[in-house]
Amino acid sequence: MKSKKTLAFDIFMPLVIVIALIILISLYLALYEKDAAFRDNPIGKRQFNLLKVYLKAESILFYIEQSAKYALQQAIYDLAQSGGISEIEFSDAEIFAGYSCGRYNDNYVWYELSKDQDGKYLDYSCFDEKSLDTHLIYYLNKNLNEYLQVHPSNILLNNYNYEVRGNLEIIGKAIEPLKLDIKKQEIPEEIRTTDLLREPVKIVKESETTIEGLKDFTGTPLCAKGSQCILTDEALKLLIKAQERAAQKGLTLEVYSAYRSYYKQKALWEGRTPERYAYRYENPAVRKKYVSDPDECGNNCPHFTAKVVDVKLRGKTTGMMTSNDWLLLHKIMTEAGWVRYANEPWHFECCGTDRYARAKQQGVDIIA
Amino acid sequence: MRQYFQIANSRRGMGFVKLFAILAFWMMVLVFYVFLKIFIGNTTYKVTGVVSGIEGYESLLDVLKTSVDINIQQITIAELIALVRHDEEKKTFLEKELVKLMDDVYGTSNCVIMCISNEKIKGSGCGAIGVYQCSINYVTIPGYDKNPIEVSFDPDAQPLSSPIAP
Repeated sequence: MKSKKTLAFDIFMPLVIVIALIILISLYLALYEKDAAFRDNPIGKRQFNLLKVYLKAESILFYIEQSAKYALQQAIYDLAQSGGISEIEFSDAEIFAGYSCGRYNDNYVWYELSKDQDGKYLDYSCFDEKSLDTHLIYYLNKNLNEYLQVHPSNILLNNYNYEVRGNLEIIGKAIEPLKLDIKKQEIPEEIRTTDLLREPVKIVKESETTIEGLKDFTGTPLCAKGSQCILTDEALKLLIKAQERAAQKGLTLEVYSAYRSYYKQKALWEGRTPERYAYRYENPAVRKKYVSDPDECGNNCPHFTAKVVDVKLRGKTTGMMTSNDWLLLHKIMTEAGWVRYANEPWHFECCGTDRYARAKQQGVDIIA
Repeated sequence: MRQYFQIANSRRGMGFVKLFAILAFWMMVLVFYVFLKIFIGNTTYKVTGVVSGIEGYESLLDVLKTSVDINIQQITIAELIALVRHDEEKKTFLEKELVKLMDDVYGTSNCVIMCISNEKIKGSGCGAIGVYQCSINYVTIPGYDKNPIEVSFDPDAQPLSSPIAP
């Protein structure tokens, strides 16, 4: 018969072994589960992806470089064709402040000859050679956009600040850096090709802006190609709501401007984008109707809040949008909870911006 | 518990516990090993095999940036490719330059293939017969007409099927 001590020992030791075994197995299983994602991928896949993304970025930069070369050649040709002046579209209400002598037979008048009271000829030069840089850059940017638009990657358009040095050199400095998602390379193809319109949130990633909690939906069907689209979570949800309404009518919304950085807003204000606000509206007081001065509005600039979208219907440019299209867009957006800025049929705000708050206070869905 | 420590603290008990502990430890290791073998099996890790694709991609960028002399002017291969789209006469010159470049860099022991929008240009190392496929790692370059051109490069192309003997 075993003593009590031996009996206790006989029970205790196997118990220790069993407990240790259970702990070890549980640990292993936990690690096995955690490691599953890594185990299913080959060793070095992430490193190779990193290298692949680097090479992809190199190839995109090369594409931009080559495109800039061709775009400049084309820009010089376009500028010569248009008589040294870049043509921008004006509405009937606008006054062309940039060129005083007007046109004759569809060509810009460079010199005006007139006679004074004594019958003596007076010549007046209308063409300001200093403005050549501005016109050349306008065509350069326009052509470059056309090149970048057709690249399979989403390269941001109107993303360069140009500086002309001497007679031969044009430097383009990117406003926003080229961003490529390393992780996205690891997403299986079937996820990327899913119908993203149904659940655009799926591929929305956290934004890298200084404002916390923003969602970046650049590259999704809701964001125009070549545009960077960032909104707050609340605003994005409201946009998706609007898209659901649009889808019922067989339409797709396309955001072409949402959150803007200070530099982007500054470029707009100073007329360094194809819209050339500074050129069209020399008077800052008038210009403010169409674009905010970032140094004046500070954090209250609507687009800084990431609760504002410039939106249109997919498949149409803003120029192609008819008054019925704008009305339809207005209906879709306001029904989803957005408020429209009266001066711009494409500009909608939500979620507590100054305009939004004023509109809600007044019980309207359109406000100046 | 108190009783166990009483045994362990005695001299005889100490030796016994040590021996038992060592045996138990090895037994546990053995059981654990057998358990893993039976239920989980081998954990093998695959090593990625995408090196060649990356090498081709990197080489392609270098090839595209290479300058060639044409009509006393220096242009890059990428520009020459874009030019050929509008000037077919330059095609022979482009092919000659590319074959020379591929042979100089990779020798003639490997089959080097460059594809420009699915049109294959083979280095001297490739056999006259045999079906080759273009690499899927392509680089997009701009054309003068604003239409992009896809170019790919394979420094070690293998024929898809061996030629059938008559």
